[in-house]
Amino acid sequence: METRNIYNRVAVLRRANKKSRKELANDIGVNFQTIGYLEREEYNPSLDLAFRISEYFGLPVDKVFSVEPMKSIEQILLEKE
Amino acid sequence: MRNPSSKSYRYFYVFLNMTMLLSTVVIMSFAVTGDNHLFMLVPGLGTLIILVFSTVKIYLRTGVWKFIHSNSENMDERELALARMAVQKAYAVFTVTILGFVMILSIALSYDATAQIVSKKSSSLWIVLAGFIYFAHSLPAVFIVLREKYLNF
Repeated sequence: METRNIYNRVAVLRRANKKSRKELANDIGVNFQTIGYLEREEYNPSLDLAFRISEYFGLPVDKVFSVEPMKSIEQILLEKE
Repeated sequence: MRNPSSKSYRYFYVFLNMTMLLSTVVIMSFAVTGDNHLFMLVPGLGTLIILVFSTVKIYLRTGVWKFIHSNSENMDERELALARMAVQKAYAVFTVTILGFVMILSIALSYDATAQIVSKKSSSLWIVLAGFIYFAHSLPAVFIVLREKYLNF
């Protein structure tokens, strides 16, 4: 089975929450390298990890992860105008 | 090539490590079975030192050795998948290597000269066995080093 690439906003959300990769990794319970792999979209998280990350940022999972490339904040703002 | 995340750095040290392992086993076996013990022991010790150096440099300092030998309960899901891939590949390579070695040894033993050397100097087999033990332990780390760009475990 060919797996799809899962896109995410982890890097943006982490920076907005002023957290380092190590801090986020410790809070979620993964290795800090795994956060790096997620942010570079080189690793597809399990459903459990995706929910844990979404809950950590207080957002629905579909706002953090997507099977289609995520729109940047600039794009969203321009579309709203 | 000093950058540990570069492909050439990682491949170089894995190649060096495996070459030195093979060289050490071959030279030390000859040192034990041959007559010129001291003459063969010097290059044997040289390759052994390089083997230890490359092991420290690419497996121990990067944390790969500790990672692959750590308890799976301490790993997250990505690390578990990585360890599984490494162990799976290592198992396949080790099995094929052992089968190849046994086949070559059985052919070699069919010749009287080889059989006599092995029966007289069975201590050389201990060196080969030690080499295989190291080989089996380092193989999963080899696959992690070859695959992972960021060696900071």
